[in-house]
Amino acid sequence: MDDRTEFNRLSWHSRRGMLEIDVMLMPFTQYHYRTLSTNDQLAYRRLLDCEDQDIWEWLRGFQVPQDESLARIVVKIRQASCDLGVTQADP
Amino acid sequence: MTALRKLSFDAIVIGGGGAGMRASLQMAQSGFKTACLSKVFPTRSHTVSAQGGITCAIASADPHDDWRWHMYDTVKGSDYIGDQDAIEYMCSVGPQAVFELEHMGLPFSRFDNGRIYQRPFGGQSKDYGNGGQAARTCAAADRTGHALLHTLYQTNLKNETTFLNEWFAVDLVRNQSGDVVGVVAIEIETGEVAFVESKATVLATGGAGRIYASTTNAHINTGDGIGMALRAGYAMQDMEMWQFHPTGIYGAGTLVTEGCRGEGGYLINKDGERFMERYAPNAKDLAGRDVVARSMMTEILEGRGCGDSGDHVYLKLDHLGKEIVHSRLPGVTELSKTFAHVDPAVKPIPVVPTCHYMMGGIPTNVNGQAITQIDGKDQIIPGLYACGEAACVSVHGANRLGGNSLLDLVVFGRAAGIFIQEQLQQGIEYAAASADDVDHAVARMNTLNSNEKGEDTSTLKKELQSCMQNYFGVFRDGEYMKKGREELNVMRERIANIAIEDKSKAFNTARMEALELQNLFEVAEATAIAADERTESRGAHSRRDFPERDDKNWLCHSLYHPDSKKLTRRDVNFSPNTVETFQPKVRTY
Ligand SMILES: Cc1cc2nc3c(=O)[nH]c(=O)nc-3n(C[C@H](O)[C@H](O)[C@H](O)COP(=O)(O)OP(=O)(O)OC[C@H]3O[C@@H](n4cnc5c(N)ncnc54)[C@H](O)[C@@H]3O)c2cc1C
Repeated sequence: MDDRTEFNRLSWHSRRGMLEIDVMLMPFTQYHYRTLSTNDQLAYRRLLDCEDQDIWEWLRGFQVPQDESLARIVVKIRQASCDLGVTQADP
Repeated sequence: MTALRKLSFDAIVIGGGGAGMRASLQMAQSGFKTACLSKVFPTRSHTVSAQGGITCAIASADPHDDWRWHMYDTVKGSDYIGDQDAIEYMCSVGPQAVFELEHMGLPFSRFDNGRIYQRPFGGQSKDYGNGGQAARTCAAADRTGHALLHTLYQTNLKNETTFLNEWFAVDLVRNQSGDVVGVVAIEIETGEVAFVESKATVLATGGAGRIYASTTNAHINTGDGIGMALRAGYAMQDMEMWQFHPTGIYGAGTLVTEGCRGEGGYLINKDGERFMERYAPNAKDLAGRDVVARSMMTEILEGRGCGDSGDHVYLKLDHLGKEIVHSRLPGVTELSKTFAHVDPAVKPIPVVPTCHYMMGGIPTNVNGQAITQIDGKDQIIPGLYACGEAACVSVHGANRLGGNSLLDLVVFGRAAGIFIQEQLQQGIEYAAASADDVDHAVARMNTLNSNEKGEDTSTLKKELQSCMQNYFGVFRDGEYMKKGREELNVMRERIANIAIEDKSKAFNTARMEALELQNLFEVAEATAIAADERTESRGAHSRRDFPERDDKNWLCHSLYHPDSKKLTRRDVNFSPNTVETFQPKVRTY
């Protein structure tokens, strides 16, 4: 997949079944993903393949993913949401 | 003309949420070639958000519970424009549908005695409103929707339903006689467009809360099925009826479950007053959602709102103690920390009524058959069915009770499946679609692809959402709505002419978002016209210029006709089969 297609895929996959996740992942894909290291990008792509309920447990700090790289990316997303503030608007 | 790839099925369900997968399961089980087509992976459908539970009189919390009491609550909750035959069907068949889910393996929470756990929700009573609060909402911890989707997905796989995952339905295909014979859809991964042909097409595309700026709905809730049906010229029912959930977190819109108030939380204004005691002396904070949302807005508009701008109120939980808040409402603490930056065990949560649920939709009978009206007479639309939030069967009328949506999904998804299966067994023959018929359904997408000059989706979407928020929110007023309608009139052309820069094929999100916005617009316009023309207040539809319920003129459904843009009336069913009619009364809680 070329870069644009892959980025579009990530944008589509960061729209989830729950608004709670949307408002954290959509801006993250838009504004942070491209600035991540290759390893973190890989981890983020893997995160997007997980179940909404799991992602939601992690993003709200209920649980920590066992997989270290997933845990690392979750911390970054939580941090980014704090910095950006969470709003309704499309990223 | 375009030569499209063609896929053929006995039945195709558009939507892999709770309603869609319950319908596809029913048909697949009887051996028909069934497809379930979904723009997102099915278990990422919006149903996953439903944390509260599924309301049903399974007589677990209370062995004397009775589906007729549930029916009474639902009719009353609907402000008497729910169809009583449909509500009777839902409440009486509900237990069977829920036990089927239990047998499929849905991991319900349990009481100590091993029976399915049920919690109290707003609007629930015993003994036709005379026996106090009931606890009727069955739950699988705080992940009922997730559990439902997984159970249905697995059971569908076992029964060999074909899943077309990440396919985006664009428009309905109709043959020369006007029968619906399938849809045109895009396979998102490749961008390839296909004609998915079928003898029965079920729209189970869910809600459209994204027409408002502030909503609890995820971004995927864009009313695509409603858009498709309106473009095909079919009438929509009760589109003015939108539920505003009382407790959306101020700012983020994310939902704090009604369970908080079930567990003893309550709302306060800036003076710390528990104001629901004034508006609903008996049920207080557990009155119907419309009643609570309106009371909150009244507090805010009369200057008793909280915060610097006085534009929200507080949900107080701290009096329950850390222990209870954390054990009974585990999600709420983190939710509130993440989105409101407060710990609810210490400080109250800022909340505001937020768009939550679309009561209106595609009118259907209890078999899921879509209905339109021609010259004032109901007409079945051959080949088209609907269920779930996209449909209006109508069990929620002017206001839905908490937990009744999941029940609606499984009962009427199942009912549609049973009916279609019978029809298929008897044999359905429709004339095949011609190339022109298919082209017709591809036209909108072709225009979008070829447009070079036009505005972009995100600016237009914002405009649409703020127009709806400002003029068609919790309180409505004729003069303002006129302005809103004028704005929408101008927007129609602009939205029809969106241009996208990215013309690539694979995962072209810009294309899908543009198509979604066009669907949102159709929903918004139907909402605006119906809201303006229903000159009364009922349930969730509340007008400052017509503050009273008007049973003489409006004890009926509204039907919005997209071609003439006119609103007509449709009779409400007051003839349940096995119980006496519940006569309209003044609705107090
Ligand atoms: C935050 C929240 C909490 C809720 N909690 C509860 C609760 O506790 N109890 C309760 O009863 N109700 C609850 N509700 C309401 C309930 O969740 C929804 O009404 C219900 O899940 C809708 O289910 P559905 O099957 O009709 O549609 P959805 O689950 O929304 O599924 C729609 C499906 O259609 C597909 N689709 C849409 N458009 C297209 C297209 N163009 N092409 C292809 N596929 C398409 C989607 O991919 C998806 O699979 C809640 C709602 C919200 C917002």
